This record gives sequence, C-alpha cells and structure tokens, in this order.
Amino acid sequence: MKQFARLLHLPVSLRRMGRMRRILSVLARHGFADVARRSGIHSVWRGAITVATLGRARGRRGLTTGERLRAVFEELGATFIKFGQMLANRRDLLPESVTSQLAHLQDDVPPFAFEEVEPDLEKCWGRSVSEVFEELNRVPIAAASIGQVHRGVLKDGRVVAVKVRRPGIRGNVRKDLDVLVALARYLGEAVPEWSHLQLPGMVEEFSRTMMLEMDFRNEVRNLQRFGLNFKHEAALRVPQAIEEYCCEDAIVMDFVDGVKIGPDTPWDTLAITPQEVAEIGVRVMLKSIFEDRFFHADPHPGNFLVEPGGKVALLDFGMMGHIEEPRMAEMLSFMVALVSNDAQMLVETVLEAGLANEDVDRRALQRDAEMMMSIYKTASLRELNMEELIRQATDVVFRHRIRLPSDLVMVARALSTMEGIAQQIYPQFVPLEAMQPYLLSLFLRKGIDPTPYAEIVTERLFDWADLLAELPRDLTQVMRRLKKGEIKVHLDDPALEQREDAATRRTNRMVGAVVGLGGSGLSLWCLESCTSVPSWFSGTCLVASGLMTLWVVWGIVRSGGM
Amino acid sequence: MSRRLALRRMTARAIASQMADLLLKLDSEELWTRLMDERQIPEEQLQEFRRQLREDLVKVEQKGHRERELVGKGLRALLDRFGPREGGE
Repeated sequence: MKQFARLLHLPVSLRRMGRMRRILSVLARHGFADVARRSGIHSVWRGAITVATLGRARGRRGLTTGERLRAVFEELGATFIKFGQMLANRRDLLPESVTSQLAHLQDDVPPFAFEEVEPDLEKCWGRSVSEVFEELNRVPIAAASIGQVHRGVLKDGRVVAVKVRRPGIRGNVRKDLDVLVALARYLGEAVPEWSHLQLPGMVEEFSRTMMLEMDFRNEVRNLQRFGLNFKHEAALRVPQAIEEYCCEDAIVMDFVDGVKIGPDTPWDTLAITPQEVAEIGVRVMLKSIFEDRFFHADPHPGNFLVEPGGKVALLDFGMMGHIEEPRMAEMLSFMVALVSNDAQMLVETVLEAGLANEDVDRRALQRDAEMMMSIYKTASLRELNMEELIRQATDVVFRHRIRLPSDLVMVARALSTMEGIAQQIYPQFVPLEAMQPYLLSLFLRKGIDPTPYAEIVTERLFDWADLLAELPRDLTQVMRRLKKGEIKVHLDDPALEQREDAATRRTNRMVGAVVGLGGSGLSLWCLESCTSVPSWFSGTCLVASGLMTLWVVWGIVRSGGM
Repeated sequence: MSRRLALRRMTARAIASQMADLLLKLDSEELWTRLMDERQIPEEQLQEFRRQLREDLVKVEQKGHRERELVGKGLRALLDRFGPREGGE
C-alpha cells in the first residue's frame, strides 16, 4: 500500500502509463525482476509481476548483468539506446563488465520517406520544396536515430546538405524521458544501494541533453559558435548553416564533399597525409576543450571527412560539451596529473574539487593512485595511451565511490575517441606526445596568469572599503544605544545551563543531607527523652529523615560525586 | 556600466599589471631549472614554456599599464591629502 501511494506521486501522466508498464515488463523479462521486487514496484504493476516470473527463468540462462541490460536498452528503442551509450562512458559509476557491454549499443535505424516530413518543412520554409531547391535527392545519404541527411541544390546553385528530423521523434522521446525521469526518481529513493549513482540527477541531465539535441535550432547555434572559434584554423572546415532555411525540424548547410577517414581512406588521392589529419584532429580537440571550453562531444570517425583539397571537415554538432570556467582549473589539473604520472596531484585535485565523499579513505586512495601510476612510471609516452590512463583512473575512482563530474567524463571520452581515430589512421602518431606539452603549458600559463588573482584581490579590497566606510556610522549607533541602555545581552550557552543544573542539584543534596541527618538525630533524642511528644510521631519523623538521608547518599553514589 | 564597476575593473587591471611586473622580475634561471628537474621537462620544451609565459605576462603588464599609472596617481593624491605631511605638524 505504501509503495502504491508513492507510485501515485510519480509525475507520469495517464498517457505515459502504458509506456511505463512496457518498460517494467521488459526489465522484468530480462531478469531485472529483483530490482522491481525490491523497490516495491511489482506489487503495483501486476502485468510486470507476471512477466517477472518468466524473467527470472530467463535471467538464469547465464547472461551477465551487462548483457541483459544491453538487451533491455535495445528492446526499448532509440531513447534508451542513447541512454545506454551515455552510461557506457560512466566507468566511474558502473562496473567495467556493464560499461563494456553498453559500449556495443548501436542506434541502427532504417531511413524514413522524405514525404513524411515534407509538409512540416514547407511550413517551416513558407514555400514548397520545389520553390526552395533546384534539385533534392529524396533518398538520404545518411540516417540516424534523430534525423537523416539529404543532398540538394538550392535555386542559387549552392550545393547543400539538408538534415531533417525524424517524424514524431520529439513526442516519442519526450514520453520516454518523462517515464525515465520518474523511474529514476523513484528508484533513487527505493534502492539505497544505488544512491551513489545519483540516478535522478544523471537522468535529468541526459533528458536536457536529448531535448536540446532534438531541437535543430540549437545545432545551428553550435555550428556558428564552433565555426567562429576556428575561423583562423585554415585546415579545418566547419559547414556553414544557411540560416533562412533552418528551423526546429531542419538544418540546411554547406555540403561537404569528402571521404570518410578510416582504414580504407584513399590517401593517395588526397592533398593531405594521415599524419597531418591526426595532428589537426588532436589540435582542434585540445583547443576546443581547454581554450574555448566548447567542444564536439561525439567525435567518432563518421563525423570526420577529408576534402580532396586537403581540408578536414567536422560534422554533426548536435551534442556539444561545455565546461564552466571555475571547473577548468580542476579539469586541467586532473589531466596534467594523469599525463605527468603525478599521483599526489591527482588525489589532491579529487579532494579539493570535492568529488570524494567525506568518509573517503584518503590513505587508501593515495595508495591506489600511486600503485596505478607506478605501472606507468617507467613507460614512455609512446607506450601509453589516454584511453588506458583514463580507464585505470576511473577504476580507482570507482573503487572509492568518487563521482566524476559529467563534463570531465565527456572530455575524457572525446579525447580518447580522438586518440583512437588518430592512431587508426597513423599508427606512428603518439597523441600523448602532443597532449602532454600542450596541457602542461596551458596549466602553467593559467596558473601563473595574475588576472584572476587580481580580480579576487580587488573584490576583497572593495568589500573592506565598504566595511570601513560604514564603520564610523555603525559605531556611533552602537555607542548611542549603549548610553541609552538599550543594548541587551542574551547568553545562550548550553554548557552554562548544565553547570547551573549541577549547582542546584548540589545545593539540594546539601540541604537534604542536613535536614535528613538533623531530623534523624532529633527524632532519636525525642524517642529517648521527650515524654511530651507521642512516640508514633517521633518514629514517623525518624523514618522520613532516614529515607531523606538514604536519597542523598544514593544520589551521590549514582553520580559519582556531590 | 556603473562608476563603481568601472573603478573595480580599473583597479583589477592595475593590480594584475603590477603582479605581472613582479612575476617578470622574479623569472629566474633557478626557478626554471627546478621546474625542469621536478617535472622532467626537456630543456627545449621548457624554453618554449618560458617564452609563452613571458609573452602572457608582458601582455597582462601592458594591458593594465595605463590603469596602474592612474591608480598610482590616485593613491598619491590620497596620501598627500590624508597622509603625514613633510616636516610634521
């Protein structure tokens, strides 16, 4: 009943209930009935409980948790596949056996017919397709989960790429995200062992990123900003958006006619060598992350093209990473510690950035970090790679339940993907040899730049100036009130109250002892010698005084002193 | 921009410029040799870092040069008005 009441508070509308039921039943069918059972969800969702029983049988078939989770995401569709791909990067939170399985998730989706989105596009452009394009190839050249790309020629002769959003995708994803957010909030409370995952925050962040990716106007802004940051980089091509034809459902931009980079790239036909491409890729990635703080968060090989003229083109700006300025120093410090094999710096960065829990075992953390680094101490940069370094670091982080900020995870992923591409096309290239001096130089330059320190000093100076300016007036007011006797001092000290209680107790005992002993003596004397006082009265007084004396003695014995 | 904010920015630039000036004076062979030993940075790379750092510091120093003069003038004027006078009264 309690669980039912809690479930009723889930912010999932009735329209989402069907989807929620489906998600729970898929979870249960793939052997996650235990989660549903422990969280109490199964007592409400009867459909899920029935399938849960079947699920337990299936779960015993020898599949690992990672394999079952991957099957769940694949069955639940695009949003969950994206979520799984995001989780695959969280090696700081999930065991390697799970992340390695999730890394295999692919969002292979069939293309859709252009006619399905044509009315929306015509509404967006205010003109028919034939009025905008001289020709438009209705067969897409690429299709992904959110949209697909067509080649077209505008009326003015410009060759363009037209990226259109999958019909109905926004509504479906919104529905999934609502359910996912509600489930995460519920499970975050109901399964205490998962509290370190901070599921609600993670899912809400994923939801924000997905919704941004869904709105193509955001991608247009990203294209423009990235293009501006690299306007002086002659070797890089960032497609220009043609703003008048861009809207929430479509992006029209320059068509990049190039070849994909990979093992089959015909380098002989291109005016650029693989070494140059690798160097440009790493240079662009480092500048965008550490100088512009705005970087391509999904630099997989499919998003790189090489033009016959020798320019490297970067595509798909839907998912971008941002790093806030205050985070930059921590990020740089973390990366420098990694590439310079400095365990102490790594630990200090983690602790100073507040990434570790208060109860973290600092000595054990330092020992693990040193052990990890000692493996690489004697290796040259040629023998190392960023991916392995990050993997080892996240293993330590996972053991100590340190939660890495999502932007750092994104940076690590982008750098290791770029490193992988560079080594694939030019195996002799050692990205760490390029990264280490760059990171070290930037770290030194940022550390020694007096501008931020001067700003802090100025701020403090102005605060002190304000305080000093106000001081005479405040002091005059205090003196005036003191003279009038308007100032009252209120002391609220629990220790003082305790001392007062102890003093009262002591006085009571002393009075009790005097009365008890005095009364006993007087009563005894009366019993012996007074004839005018009835003996029953003296006897009662003797008993009462004796009891009082006993009470005092008992109090002293119990408290160990007066 | 408010007068206060403008004054604050001016002061910050002046202080940054003064600090950069100081750091440029502190830049010594000994400091760099120590860094080279500590971080095991090759000599050539280190000289490049040093050149970049000097360049950055010179930029900051020059950027706030005018502000430094103005703040200096302001401080001198304040001292003349409120500070101890020559000869003592």
